Amino acid sequence: MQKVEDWKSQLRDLHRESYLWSLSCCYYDKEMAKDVLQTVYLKIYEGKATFNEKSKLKTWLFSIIKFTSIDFMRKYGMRIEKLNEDHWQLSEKEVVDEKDQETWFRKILQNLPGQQREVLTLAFYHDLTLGEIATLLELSIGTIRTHYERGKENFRKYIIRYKLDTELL
Amino acid sequence: MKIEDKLKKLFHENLEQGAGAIPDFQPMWEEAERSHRRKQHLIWKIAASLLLAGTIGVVVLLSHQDDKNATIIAITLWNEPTKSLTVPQSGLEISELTIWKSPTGFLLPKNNQ
Repeated sequence: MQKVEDWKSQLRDLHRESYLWSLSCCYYDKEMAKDVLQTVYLKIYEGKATFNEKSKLKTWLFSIIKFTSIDFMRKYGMRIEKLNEDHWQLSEKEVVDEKDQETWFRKILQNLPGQQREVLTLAFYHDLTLGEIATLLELSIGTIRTHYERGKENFRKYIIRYKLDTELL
Repeated sequence: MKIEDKLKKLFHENLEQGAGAIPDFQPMWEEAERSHRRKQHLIWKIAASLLLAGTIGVVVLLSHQDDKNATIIAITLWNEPTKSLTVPQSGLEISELTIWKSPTGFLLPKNNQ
């Protein structure tokens, strides 16, 4: 219990990123994201999730969030999204009509296949390396690299296709 | 600008904006502490209830055992009602039987007495 108290300040520092990651894992359902994070804090407090210091605290914490979100979705009967990346399509109208960068960014991101979205979010927002992402998601680094490259390419395609950002044209 | 740098900039500028209000850490941590305490109290309540139920069960079993012993004792102390017919009640009756004289003895010749 004393050790948990020692981590409290580090957990506090990571709280913002933890919530955003939880939101990503929960397909942007804010209530579920909060419940997942609450459950994770309870697991840590009760010692059901212990940090073995083999990885960074952030990687360990994000891994717990990821697998807790999967448990939640299974428990509530939600189908875990498994979009085939060849079939994802965001209509031109949905994107072009939104001139606001934040809105079209969010729409593109939410329409990426699940694992591409997660890998890009972890790499570009949470600043994790591909190795850390592989540890977190319990996938091979080759698989992570594939999702990373395809996700980047899909994002770039939309930005270029709809001329959303002239810097990339 | 490289795509990686552009994506990094896009993510940092826009990801948080779409998330809405981020819940505070302290209330969530305190809720975790409260939930843990509630679970601990529940475990103690269940343990105390089981102990009480077990104690009551043992007391009930023991009290039935005492009743059984009382019945056994009562049987061993029981005196048969016809005992007086088979065994003399007092020494006086025994002596009276042993010195009983035949009421027709005087009819017999003296040398037979």
